[in-house]
Amino acid sequence: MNRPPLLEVKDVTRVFKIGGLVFGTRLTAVENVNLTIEKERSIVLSLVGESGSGKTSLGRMILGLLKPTSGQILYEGHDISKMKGKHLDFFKQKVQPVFQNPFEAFNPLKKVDRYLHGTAINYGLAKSRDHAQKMIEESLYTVGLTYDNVAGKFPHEFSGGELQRVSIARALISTPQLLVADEPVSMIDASLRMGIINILLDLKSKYDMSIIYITHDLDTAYYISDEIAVMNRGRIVEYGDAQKILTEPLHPYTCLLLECLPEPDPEKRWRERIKFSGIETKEFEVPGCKFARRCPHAKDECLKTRPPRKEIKEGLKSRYVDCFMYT
Amino acid sequence: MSQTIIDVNDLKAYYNIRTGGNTTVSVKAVDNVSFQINKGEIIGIIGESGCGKSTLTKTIYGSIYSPLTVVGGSVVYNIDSKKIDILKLGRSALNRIWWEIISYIPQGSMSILNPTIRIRDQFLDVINAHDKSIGKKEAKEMILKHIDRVGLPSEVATSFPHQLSGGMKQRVVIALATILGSKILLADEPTTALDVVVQRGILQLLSKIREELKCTILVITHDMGVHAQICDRVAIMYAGKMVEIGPVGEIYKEPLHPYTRFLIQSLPKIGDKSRKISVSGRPPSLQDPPRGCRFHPRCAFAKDICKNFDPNIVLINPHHWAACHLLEAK
Repeated sequence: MNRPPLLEVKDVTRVFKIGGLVFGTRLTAVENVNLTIEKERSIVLSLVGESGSGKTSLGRMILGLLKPTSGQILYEGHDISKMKGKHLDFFKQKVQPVFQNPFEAFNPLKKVDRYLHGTAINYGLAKSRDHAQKMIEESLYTVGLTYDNVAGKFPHEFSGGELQRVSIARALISTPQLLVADEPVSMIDASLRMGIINILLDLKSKYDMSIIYITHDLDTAYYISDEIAVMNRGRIVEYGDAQKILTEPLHPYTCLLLECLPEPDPEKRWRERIKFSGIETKEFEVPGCKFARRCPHAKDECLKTRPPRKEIKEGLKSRYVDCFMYT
Repeated sequence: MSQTIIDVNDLKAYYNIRTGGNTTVSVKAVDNVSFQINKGEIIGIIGESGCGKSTLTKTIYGSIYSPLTVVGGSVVYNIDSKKIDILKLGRSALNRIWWEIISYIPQGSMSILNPTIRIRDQFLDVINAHDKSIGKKEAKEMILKHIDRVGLPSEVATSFPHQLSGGMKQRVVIALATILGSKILLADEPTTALDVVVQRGILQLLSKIREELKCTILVITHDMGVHAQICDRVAIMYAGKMVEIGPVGEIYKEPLHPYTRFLIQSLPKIGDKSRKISVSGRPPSLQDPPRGCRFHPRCAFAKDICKNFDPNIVLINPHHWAACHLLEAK
């Protein structure tokens, strides 16, 4: 029997209205996005792109915090926008967020351990205070902390790295199947960053948890991901195996991102200078490929029609590229 | 032999914060830091948040406001064989030096532009405040020349800041910093919050400005990739101390200090899936830093001497200094 995938994003579009009734404009933040995470194999899927690529909006829709304008998001085969009552509670337990800035995620006037107890009790998971305590200790242990580290402390008493660990521990209390981590390390110092990334990797391998890792940082995305979806102006332009995409990119946008990555090696400096592209705010309005105006290979048809999705088989895996160059 | 343009000697800059009653807490953000900046180089400072890198830059600039106090040491500029001790200057003398000799591009500088004034008029304000003899026509030509140098179209001069993207605003600020011919630029996190493609453009612009205007540039960022791309020398700060300074090639290839080694080894790279580890523990509080070497509680190689005595920064290889007892013993 074919089990439904853990998460299926089907042709999802989100349109934001900007401004008033008369002069307002529409901005398509996410456009016809399709993604699948299978249940059998837990993976880390990275959503990468520049600011304004729609990666955060997509993450919020997967968490159920934002409704898609059209399309469906299915969790184990059920549309999350139609979930009610107990079913919705179950979904909220099984899909948990980790946010960018842990200092904003916690109330600064509330002790951190009260948060953890609150999570365990409000979800109806813990039968008693002792039971809650045990659950909290377990999830803190997973992220490399002990209960004594957090007991009675306010958020400002932690370093960014520690507090981010606590916020991951909070997410783990309800034993989720899917974590949506939106830039979880961009606020964390370099010497502590890899600690957080390694926790996410361990969650995948030891606890069979799938993770959606939203980032602009291609280096950590390479380190952590199994699959990657490169987003540009609301559309996924390249989607498939992370190793393949980041070492042999096909879409010109992925190539540009990788070329502009400042590599931490003084022997590999950029040789030629890139041209500074002027005002890019009009990119959203291009009917064809949104990258066409910056693309060195752009032809007339790229500006007029949206490039079709092309499946490219690479051994057992396939990768999807939205570009006329490969049709 | 390269010429020293800024000489920082034994600098101590503390934040003295009064915490109710008569007790004062001093946060030792910069503690006994000595180094030289050579003329015409791009020097980078690496460090985690709260390690004192921004405070060091502010002190070098001479912008010292309470609660920041300079407790000891000196910062001497060496401009056209004239020595200027910046920490001894009064307000009016500083006003002359700022923008004409040294410019500071603060963190989040995209937001320093006044949103209600056109870009051109903001440039005119700066020019008029310093040199009243420049006529309006001449000034406008200067502005267009500088806007062109940073790679922006001339329409930008008549635009308001909100009409420009983040990268364009950053270019405007760089043009503004160089318009009065200042020879030293201090850039605090010039590319954070910018996308990678725009970031690459800004970094190229800084290199270009250094070549064309023969400036000296100090860049602070926490992104080690940025330093590798544009710097000649790199200094590493940890908990208010400078722990290592040397040529960029050596720092990335053969780092000396255990902290630098950790930082370089933990960098994820595309094409390298080996497991990276982070440094255990957390950066110390600058109110009450650990005795001895400030890195010793997190250092895997710490010995007894590290716990009790603060290491001096010493020359290990030609042009490469480091502050570590383990290196001195060799």
